[in-house]
Amino acid sequence: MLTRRAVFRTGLFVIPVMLSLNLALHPPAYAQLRRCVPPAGNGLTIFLDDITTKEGSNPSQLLKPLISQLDRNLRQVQADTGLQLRFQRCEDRRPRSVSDFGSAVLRDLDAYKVVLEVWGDACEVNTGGKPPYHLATITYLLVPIQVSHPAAAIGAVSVTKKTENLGDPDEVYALLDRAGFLAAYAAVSAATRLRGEQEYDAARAQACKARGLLEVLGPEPLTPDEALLRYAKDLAGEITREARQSAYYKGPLKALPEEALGSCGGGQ
Amino acid sequence: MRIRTLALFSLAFCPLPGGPVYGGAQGVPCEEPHVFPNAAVNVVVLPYLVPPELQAAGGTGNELAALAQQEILSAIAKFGSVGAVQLTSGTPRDNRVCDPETVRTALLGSRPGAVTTVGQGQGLVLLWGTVAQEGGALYLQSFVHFLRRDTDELLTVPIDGLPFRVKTTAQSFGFVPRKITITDLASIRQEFAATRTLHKKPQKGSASMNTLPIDKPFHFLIDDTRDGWMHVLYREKPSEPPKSGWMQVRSSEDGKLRTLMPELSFVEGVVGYLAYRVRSEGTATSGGQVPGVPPDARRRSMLVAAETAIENYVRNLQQGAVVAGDSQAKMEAFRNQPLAMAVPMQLLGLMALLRGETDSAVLERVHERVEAAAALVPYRADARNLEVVVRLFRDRTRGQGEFDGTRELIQMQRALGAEPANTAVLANLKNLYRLVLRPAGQLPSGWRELTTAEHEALQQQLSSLEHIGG
Repeated sequence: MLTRRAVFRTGLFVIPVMLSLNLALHPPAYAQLRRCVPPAGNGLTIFLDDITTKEGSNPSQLLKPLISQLDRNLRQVQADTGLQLRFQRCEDRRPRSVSDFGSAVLRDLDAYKVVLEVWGDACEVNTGGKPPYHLATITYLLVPIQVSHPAAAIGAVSVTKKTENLGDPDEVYALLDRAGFLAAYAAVSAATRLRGEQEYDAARAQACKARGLLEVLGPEPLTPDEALLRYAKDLAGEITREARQSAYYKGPLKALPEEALGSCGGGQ
Repeated sequence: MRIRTLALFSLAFCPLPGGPVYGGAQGVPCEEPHVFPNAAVNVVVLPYLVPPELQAAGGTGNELAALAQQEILSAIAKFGSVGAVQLTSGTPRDNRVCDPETVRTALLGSRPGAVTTVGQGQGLVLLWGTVAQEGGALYLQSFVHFLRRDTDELLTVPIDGLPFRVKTTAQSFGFVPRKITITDLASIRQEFAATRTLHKKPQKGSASMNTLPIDKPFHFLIDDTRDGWMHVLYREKPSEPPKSGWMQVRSSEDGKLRTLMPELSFVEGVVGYLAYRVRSEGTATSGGQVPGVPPDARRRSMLVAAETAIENYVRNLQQGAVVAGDSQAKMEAFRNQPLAMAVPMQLLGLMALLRGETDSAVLERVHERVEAAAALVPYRADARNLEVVVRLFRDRTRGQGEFDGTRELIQMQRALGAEPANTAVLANLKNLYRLVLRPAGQLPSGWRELTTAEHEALQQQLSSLEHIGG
């Protein structure tokens, strides 16, 4: 008899095959998004779409720094996680907004173990008479969260940065560097996915990592990052509760005293 | 090509009679990476990714990697039995073949492609990086991965007769990016060109002898080093007699590359740490133990040299050469790269333990460091685990005052709660319970005797953990 976990894993194996057949027989309604497939092999993947200037917008010199900063941030996340996280460059894939990701697209991404998809744009804004300013917007789609909580509005984080001064490289650098947040997004997405797979130990570690990273980074009040911090805290707690109630789980989350599981490590 | 490379390689790697192995190789294609199979530790430097518009004459990424390899090799020769290999890419750069994960797995024998692989228990340090242009400035960021093949990088610390296992939070991480200038890049090219000539003596004005190849793989042995110079033995073809001469590691005397890349000091230190452990533990895969007696003077000096190198790295980082800018920018940099500070602090702690350090003032300083590391990554179980174990070790070594252990129990429980699959922390937690729960007559001196209620509660907690592996 298959255990619940084994059934789920079998399901994961079958889904990509079914998806391929489905795509061949029924061209999807989301055809405006160029398809991107992660490299073969195990592990979780981050999709990096085009970072570009939107049609009708003025090109900005902020675009190049935005691209290189994001590239470096991704490399760092990959190195810091022990090289187990792969990222896939998706040429010519340009989502206009989160609404481009219908449920079928999301299921597709989730089946391919894509935990994060990132895209962005930069433009120069002329306001007439005043000096122009530059806007850089980057959107992070946290795929497993968007799949499991489509209505909660926490599965996508869009960050817009504005500057009038491109002359100070350090300011531009500080403006765009989001390595810590990127690591937190990858962790909270992975945690959500692993919880679905009932891999409670690994899920809890990722949820705690996301929570810890976001607490250290200190998100601004009333921002998506603050909402994500609340989500990560709740998720760490929910993972613990599920593990303790699970019939098959026998690990430390069941054996440790409850008061040891509230803080996610940390503290004296 | 592969056969020729292998032939030259094997000739170059015949160990010097009676001498240690200090080997270098430059211009090795990423498609055919290799290491010095007899060396205790190898450093492999991958080409740095440099944007095409900065590669005016091409190849700056390879040259930066070559200079880094030379600087590292000259610094790590003191550890003996070491090798450093600089990998190179075609033009401008083949991301796939020069991918660090691809190279690492090939060198560990997990996938084909490597001419020679890292032996069981031997050390490997990979260094790679990028140079990016942002807002009119250039930023250089390096990444590192260090390991011993098929070996858990654990250290066992005995406390009151029970083993406690500790390790660093990560063995792979990104360093803090540093701002550099176009002039710096140009000087890298000049320095590289200046180091291509072999000299008769280790002096700048000394007569030139041979010119080292730039555009093909080049393998060499080192039989002597002086400040900023290495004496090199090499053959261009198997049929030719060996050539030799002094290679200038860098053309400037001010250590500019170290200023630009303090991570080279970290690499130097981590090679010393790995070389010490390879020599002490051989091919054991279970991890070493804090020695009951301090290591002999020669091995101790290896650790001291490694610690000094990592201290230099930490000092440079803390002195603000990070990202030029205001203090807020520097704070941001640390928040985004916490491992770049946490892991070196933890390694310093581990090396002090390996030295058999018992001086309470030094152990206090060690504890401060690992505590600072735990504060940087509060969500990582290994960081809190190391802090708690070092604190216990310090207190037990000091041997004064009354010990309770319940505070440490709570912290270890929380650490395990944050990373439940961490078997080292689970094992330590069980041992901590066993220490605290010892009967009154068997309690080590200074341990407080539990009340009956405390004993029952903790015994129940331990029982529920006993069936879990770790």
